[in-house]
Amino acid sequence: MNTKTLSLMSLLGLLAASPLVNPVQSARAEDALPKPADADLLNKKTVSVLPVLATGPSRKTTFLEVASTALVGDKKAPLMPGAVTSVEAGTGFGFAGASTDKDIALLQLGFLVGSLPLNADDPKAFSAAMDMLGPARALLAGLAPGVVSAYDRYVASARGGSIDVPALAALFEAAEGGIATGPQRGHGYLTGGLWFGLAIVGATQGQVNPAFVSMASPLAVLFEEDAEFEGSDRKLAASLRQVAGLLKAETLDVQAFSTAVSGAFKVSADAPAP
Amino acid sequence: MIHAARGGPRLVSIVALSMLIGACATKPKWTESTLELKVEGIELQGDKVSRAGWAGTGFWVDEDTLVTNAHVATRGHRIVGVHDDKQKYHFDTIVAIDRVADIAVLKADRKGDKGGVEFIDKPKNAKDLRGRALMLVGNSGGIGLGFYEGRVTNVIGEAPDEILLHDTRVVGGSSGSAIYDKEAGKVMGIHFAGSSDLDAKFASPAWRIQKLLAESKKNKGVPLDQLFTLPNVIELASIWGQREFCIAAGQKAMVNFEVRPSTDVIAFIKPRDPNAVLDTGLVYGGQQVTWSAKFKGNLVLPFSLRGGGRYDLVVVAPEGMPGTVCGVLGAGEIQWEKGIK
Repeated sequence: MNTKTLSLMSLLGLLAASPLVNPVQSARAEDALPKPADADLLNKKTVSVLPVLATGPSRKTTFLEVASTALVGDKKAPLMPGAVTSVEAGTGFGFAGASTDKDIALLQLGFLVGSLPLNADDPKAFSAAMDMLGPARALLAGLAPGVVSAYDRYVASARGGSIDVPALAALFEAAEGGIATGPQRGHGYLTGGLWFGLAIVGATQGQVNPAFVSMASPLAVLFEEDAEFEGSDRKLAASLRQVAGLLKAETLDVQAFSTAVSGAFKVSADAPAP
Repeated sequence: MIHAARGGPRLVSIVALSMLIGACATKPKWTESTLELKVEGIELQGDKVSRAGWAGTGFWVDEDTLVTNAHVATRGHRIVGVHDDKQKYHFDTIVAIDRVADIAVLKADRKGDKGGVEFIDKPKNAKDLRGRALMLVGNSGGIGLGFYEGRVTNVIGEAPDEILLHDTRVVGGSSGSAIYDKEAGKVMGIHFAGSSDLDAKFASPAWRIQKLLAESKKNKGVPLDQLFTLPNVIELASIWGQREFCIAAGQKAMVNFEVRPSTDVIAFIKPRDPNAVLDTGLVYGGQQVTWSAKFKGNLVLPFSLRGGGRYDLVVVAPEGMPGTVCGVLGAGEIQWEKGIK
C-alpha cells in the first residue's frame, strides 16, 4: 500500500464508510459493546509508533523554521563553545568511529549534517566534515529517495560554502516520513542525529525554536515504545528528553547540556549491521 | 503546560471575583471598544459532535470589525457580543484566522457607534516592551468586563512570532482581550493563553493583529455556520502522516503528536479486515484516556483538543482476538483558515 500522504479524495473515500457520516449518532462505533477500560488501552505492548514531529498550520513552514536554526549569523554570539568541544571530544564520537552499526553511523551522520554550520568559521574543521559527508552518502542506501536527494542538495550547497536551509528542512521532513515507510530504524536514527546536531547549533545561539524542542518528545516515544527499537534506543530516548528539557529552561545549563548530548553518542549498537 | 484562556461561566470563582475587585481601576472608557462574547458552537469528540457554549472577549478595530482569539471563534456558529451598555451585536461572518498567533477577525451584523482601538507603533526591538504597565479589559471568568492591571514581563520568540508575556491575573473568558499600554491607552496585543510552568500569561503583539487585519481586507468572509461544518472537517484536513500497522491480541499501534492548545485534529484508522472489532482511544500525556471506543470498519475521528501537549491515538487488538489485524492509521489537523475566501 502506498503510505504517502492521503489525498483529499482518498480521505473523502474513507469518510464515505466512516462513522463521521453521522457522528452525532455515533454510527458504527460499537454502541452495543462496552467501552474499553483505560487499562486495555494503556497497558498493551506497543508494536508501532507513527511519530509526528511537526504540527501547526504548515508542516513545511515548521520544518523550515526548525532548519533555519542552522543559520548561524554574525549577530548571534556563540554562548557555549565549550559544549561543542566537549561533544567533539566525547567518547566514541566521530564519524567512522568505533561503532560499526549502520544505525549508529546514521545517528552520527545526522549529527554531522545538523551541526555542520558550527564548523563554518573553521576552514580546517569544515573541510574535515566535508571529507566525511561525501563517502557517508553510501550510508543512505535504502533510505527514502527524498532523504538522498535532500542530502545531495545540502552537501552540494555546503561545498559551495553555504547552508541550504530548505534542503535541510526537506531532509528532516523526508527522514521523518521514512520512519513510516521504512526502514524505520535507519530513518529514526538519522532524524535523531539531525535533531541533536541542530540542538547544539541552537544552543550556541541562545534561543531555540519551540517547535524544534517539541520534536524531541514524539521521537523519544518512537525510541521508547516501538517494538522495533529496544535496548540502546531507550538510552537515546532518555538523552533526547534530557536535552529537550535543558533547552526549555530559561538559562541553559551548559555543563549538563554538554553531558546529555555527549551521552547520546555513547549509545552502542545492539547488533552488528547485516 | 499551556492552556488557552477560553472559558465558560462555570469558571467563575471566588479567586476571580477577588482579583476583579482588587484590579478595578481607571479609564472606564476603555470598555467602549470591548465586548463580552458568548459563543454557541460545536465540539468534536471523536465519534460524536456535541453542542457547546463558551465565553470570550473581543474588541472593535473599526465600526463593524471585531478582533478576538482564533480559539474563541473556531467552531462557533453563533457569536453574540454585549457592551457594558447592554447593546448586542451578532458576529456571523469570519474574515480571517491566524492560528499561530491565535487571532480571528469577525464582521458584525451592523455598524456600531463605538470607535475602534488604536495600536501602539511597533518598537524597533520588541523586548523594549518589557516592564511596560498594561491594562487588560476582559470578560475574565465570564462575569462581564473588568479591568486587570499588570505589566509586560518578557517578550519571547523571534519575528514574526513574538509572544508578549504578562502577569495580569485573569482566567477563562479573558481570551481575546486587548492588553493596553496603560499610559498611552493603545493596544499592545491580544491576550490568548497562560502557562502554569512559566507563571505567565501570553499575548500576541499588536503588529501581528495589524498584519492579519491588512490581509483580511482581501477576504469576503464566510458565515460561521458555513465554515465550521462536518464536511469541512474533512475538506480542510491536512494529514501529517500515516503508517501501516499489524497488531495481534494485546498489542497496540499509535500515532504520537504534540499540539498547541485549542487545535482541532483528525485521526483515521482503516483496518483491512472490516469485521475485526478493535479498541481505540485518545490518550493525553501518555497516561490519561480522554476518549475511547470499540469499533469495526473504517473510522475517522475529529477531536477538539483544548490543552496543548502530547497526545497518542492508539488502536488496540483486544485480548482473545484471533490472528493479526493489519491496516493504516494516521492523523492530521483541521486548517479552518483555508476555508476563508
